[in-house]
Amino acid sequence: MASGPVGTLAAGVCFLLAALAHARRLRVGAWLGAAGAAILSGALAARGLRADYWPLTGTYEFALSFALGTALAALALDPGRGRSARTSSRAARPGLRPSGREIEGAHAVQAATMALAAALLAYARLGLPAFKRAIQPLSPALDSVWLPLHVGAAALGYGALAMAGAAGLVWLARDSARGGAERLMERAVAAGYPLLTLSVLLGMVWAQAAWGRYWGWDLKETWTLITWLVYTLYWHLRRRARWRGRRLAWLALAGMGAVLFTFLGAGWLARAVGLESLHLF
Amino acid sequence: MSTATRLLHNLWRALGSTRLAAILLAALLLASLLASSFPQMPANPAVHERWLAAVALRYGHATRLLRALGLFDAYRAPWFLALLATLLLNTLACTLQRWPRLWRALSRRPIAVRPDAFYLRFAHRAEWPVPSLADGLRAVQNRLAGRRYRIQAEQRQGIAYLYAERGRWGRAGTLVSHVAALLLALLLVARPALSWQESEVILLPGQARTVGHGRDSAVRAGPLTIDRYPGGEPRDYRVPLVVLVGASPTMTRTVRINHPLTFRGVAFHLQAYGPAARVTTPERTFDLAFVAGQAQEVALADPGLTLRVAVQPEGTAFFVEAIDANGSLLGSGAVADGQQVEVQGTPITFTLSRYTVWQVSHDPTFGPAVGAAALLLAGALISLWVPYRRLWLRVDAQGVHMVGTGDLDDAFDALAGELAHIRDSEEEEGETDG
Repeated sequence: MASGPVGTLAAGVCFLLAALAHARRLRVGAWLGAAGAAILSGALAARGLRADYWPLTGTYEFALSFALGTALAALALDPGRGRSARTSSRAARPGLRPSGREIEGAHAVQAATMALAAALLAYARLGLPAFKRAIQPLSPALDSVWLPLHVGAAALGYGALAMAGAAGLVWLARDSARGGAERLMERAVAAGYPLLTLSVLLGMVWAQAAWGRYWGWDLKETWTLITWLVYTLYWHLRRRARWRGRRLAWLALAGMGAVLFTFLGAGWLARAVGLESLHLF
Repeated sequence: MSTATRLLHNLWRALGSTRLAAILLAALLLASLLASSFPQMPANPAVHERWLAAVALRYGHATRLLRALGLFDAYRAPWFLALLATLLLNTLACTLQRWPRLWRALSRRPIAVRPDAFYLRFAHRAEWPVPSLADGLRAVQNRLAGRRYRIQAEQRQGIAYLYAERGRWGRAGTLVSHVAALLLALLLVARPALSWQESEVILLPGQARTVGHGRDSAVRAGPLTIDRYPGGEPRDYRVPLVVLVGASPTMTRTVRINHPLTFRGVAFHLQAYGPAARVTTPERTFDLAFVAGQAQEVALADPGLTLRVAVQPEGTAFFVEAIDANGSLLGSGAVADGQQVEVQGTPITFTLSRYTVWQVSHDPTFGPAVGAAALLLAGALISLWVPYRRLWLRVDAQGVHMVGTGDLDDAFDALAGELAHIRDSEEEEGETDG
């Protein structure tokens, strides 16, 4: 079973190859992405078995889960997924056949998303010190049934929202890919926003059980609210003609920035400004 | 309509507009971003002075200005609350304005028969030929029904008119999430008045403490047990907690982190622990909690001296000083756990123990807040994943003319393409079957 550095390295290589394949508009990219997600799932499962808890604690494990969430979002929201299983006559109908530009856009978004998943794995392996990667005994505060639910929903939600950011980037960077990128951006936000909301809801229940208050304006809580507000704003503006296209793409990119800051920047901010947070450990 | 009425009407429309909602959401986002950049004052007023003194070391002369701007208590500052209140009003106005339109859309019987000019209004339009009215109508109806559209058809003067829609209740998603957001915001506003919280409540083993806040109950904590991993790291903290009503124990539970005891709406959360001591003299027993490592004093009437007791950093022994009535040091030394020492002929025993720190809270808004958040999630899911699509079709012997509105975008072209090629695919399927 793939585990430890071998598993994450193999998954990272798969994601990188998937990104390259998608950049060349090759359908094998989806298979490589799926292989990477399967290997990373195996690596996380192996770590969980060794640690005897859900591998969703600390920066390293969340980075792996975030990368898995990103890859799963790319696979689940792939517009080409399942098309081959449909009847050939249906696929041949003009209305259902995606245009060349749409296919180009979808591949470009998949490439950017898979590259992001690979970057997250690279950060986890190379950017974090060894003690942060080591399996630590589970602290009593994290020994809760809400851990996999709250953090799992966050990892999946972050993954989908990162994909929306990647779609925004593609929209801004490549004129010819805009149609497919815009559609995927909307689908990714439609998947990520409810998952983020679910994560906040589950976090409220956990916070009430652990600390006796479901909302305390903790630094991480506030930054999650900021992220949530970015996507609430996105959802309010998405049907407004003036906001469609470039502005929404920038907003999706800003949302991805908020997601990454909530994950990585909140700790830095806490140290820089001298803030306390119950979410930093 | 008079000018004043028109002005009020326009103001009301603006108050419930999506544009204002977007501006307020952006403002709230920026306000939260600003607030998150400054340390926030703890809720406990007893520590405010000490906290402000520590903050002043960091911000120097700017401290007074930042405090006056409310940046150290941003989430309770008037400007933040005003922003929240305006967003609340905006959501309320939006909900009230949308409700009648939504109710009409959901309850009225749609009109299928439309004049030709009606079909020119829409951006989504498609036309395709059919061999005959009957064939075209049957094929279109079958395919739309297969795509879960609700169809209403009428025929007039050799022309069939169809109205088809799906995801009618998807329109209610926004309303549901807005009502939920209103409820959440109201709960957030009402929370300080309805709930209370006491942090850093210290309990020594065996010590009872009344709950207060008009309750007739008290709690008594037992000793803290720490389960450890083989490497010595803490695995679990456990404290037996007894709820007393009057003098009689009513409820006993072992409280752990994440597993509070809740009695009549009051929850007791184990937060932390620290070193404590039991000092036993022939006359009485003293329980001391070394909060923040501070030394504690014990006044002994007989032989008329004061003991200053400190716990050593590793928490395995004490350091004791004996001071007479004049403040002169009589003697000092380390004392081991369980050791008995004699001070001026009085035997005194020192025993190590642990105090526990609790958070006691009563928050009746929690259940409704979770319900509102779940409703918000349900509303978002409906709004995001149940597209509301409406189609009008005019079918005659020459062909089909279809227009559509709602969450269609590219789906309209896809559907039109699919409907226009029904005959082709039916023929293909027939050939395959044959």
